[in-house]
Amino acid sequence: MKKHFEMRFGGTGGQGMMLMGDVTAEAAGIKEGKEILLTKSYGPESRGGACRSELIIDDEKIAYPVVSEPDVVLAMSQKACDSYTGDLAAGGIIIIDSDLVKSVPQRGRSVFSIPITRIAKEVTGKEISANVVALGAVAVLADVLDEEAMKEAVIERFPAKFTEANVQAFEAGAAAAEELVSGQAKKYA
Amino acid sequence: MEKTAYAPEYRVLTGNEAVTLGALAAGMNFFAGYPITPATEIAELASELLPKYGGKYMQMEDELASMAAVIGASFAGSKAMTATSGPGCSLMQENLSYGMLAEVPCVLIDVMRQGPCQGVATMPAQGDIMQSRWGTHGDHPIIVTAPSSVEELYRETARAFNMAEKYRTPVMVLSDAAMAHMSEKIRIPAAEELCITNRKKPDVPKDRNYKPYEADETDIPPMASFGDGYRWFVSGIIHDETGFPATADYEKIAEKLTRIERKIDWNIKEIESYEEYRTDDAEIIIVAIGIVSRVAKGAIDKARKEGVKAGLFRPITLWPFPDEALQKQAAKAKKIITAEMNDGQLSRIVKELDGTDGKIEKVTRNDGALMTADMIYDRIMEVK
Repeated sequence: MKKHFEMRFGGTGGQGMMLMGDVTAEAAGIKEGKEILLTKSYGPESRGGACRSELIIDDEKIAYPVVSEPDVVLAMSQKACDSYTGDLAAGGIIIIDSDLVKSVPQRGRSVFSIPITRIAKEVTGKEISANVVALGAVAVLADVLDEEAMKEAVIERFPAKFTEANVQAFEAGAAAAEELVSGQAKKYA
Repeated sequence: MEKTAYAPEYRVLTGNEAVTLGALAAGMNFFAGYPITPATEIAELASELLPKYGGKYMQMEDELASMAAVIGASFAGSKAMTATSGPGCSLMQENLSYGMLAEVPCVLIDVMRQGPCQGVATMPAQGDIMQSRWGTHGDHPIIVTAPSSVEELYRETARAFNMAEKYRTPVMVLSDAAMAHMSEKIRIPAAEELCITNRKKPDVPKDRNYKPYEADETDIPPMASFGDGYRWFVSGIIHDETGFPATADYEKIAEKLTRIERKIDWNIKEIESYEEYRTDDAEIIIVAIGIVSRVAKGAIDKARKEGVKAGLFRPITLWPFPDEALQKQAAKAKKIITAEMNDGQLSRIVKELDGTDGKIEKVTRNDGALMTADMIYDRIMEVK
């Protein structure tokens, strides 16, 4: 497993990309006791602008707060895929929402194509759960993360009345990722 | 008011959140401010939390009024703070100077962004090193601390309150746009770890003989709050121990100014704080503060792998500057490299110190981007 791991969650304002960063930071930092450093960037719009959160996970203190070679990039929009995947680390993976991203600019990279938003709608009836579906997928595909810790962090993040729907969304995302992985040689490390 | 806002030991917080929570933990019960990127979230969180803990939040019309309100609240006995960035800090300088002369405990957070003027609101910089010391006119004492992580922002903000209360002076904390918005895992210290300090109050009779600026052997006069029953006059004009103007008395003018400088100078050992990293055998000393000091460590580790003996000296209190400790390192160093995100403000401070003659090299960056470890590493390898 890599010691220093970088992730980027990119999409459109309103898709919950910032919250994905918060939940993943909580899971890796507090639940698993790793060092984490989370940054967020967004345009002036509250909905509809390109935005991303970026998380560094390490066993040791993190000096430089910039993601420069992400090991995992999640792209929840075509724009996010176009602008946020260029600096992918060698051996890094791209996870896309297959309904929202039609073309992946980089060739020869590992791309995990999952209909994230569609799954959210099917499982919980709400598109807004897409980021929780994505968290389930990321938990499976990014070996640095522990699936149970991630699930716990998701549950704790929201009021209890959403637990059932969120667990379903998370597990559906994880299952979709597992399905893709079982077709591949091995889990990304 | 409750002392701490949160119980869990470890939390993921942004720098701005850590500043607000550190302030609350130290007993902040008043905040006045005017929003400005990248400091706004400090005001935002203060406005949410202060009323819950019995404190007061005041949204002001501008930065002049913000600093004035903070000073007024402190006179009324509150632990008061404001937060701003470079442009707002410029506007606060006049009242900051009032706070120094009238000896008002208060805390000013400056979240540095790329200047000058409006500059670049969203980009980090370290251009307020000199402003924090000399932004206001006249000779005056100040304490400025420059943390380098989210955890240290929490602790140093709390310590800023303690020092403000103990030495009756404004204290500034320098953060920056990068630390303000990044999240790190921090350990929330227990209340007793913070050694919460409260200002000394007078115990003399509340009669006409009361002298609000009469100092004891510590040089720090006890401070009554407005409403305590003492009758006193406060002014930004140079005053004697009665608080009334002493503008016709050379001796009293000198006495006042000397005393307020002395109350900081004499306590420098208690106030000053610095970190040394791999300096024991270091021939090249990097001097860096805040966020730059983090990457400097990486550069040092890399240089040491190449056999170059490099080390870091990081002033945590920027003012008073830890002169003596750095001079000790400077004396045995072959080269001193100052690394900073401005055009060389820290470099000038180091240049003034004994034993640094002819040894100083610089790495600077003024484009709003963070300094990288490689920039410092390359300089080390050039001058070694």
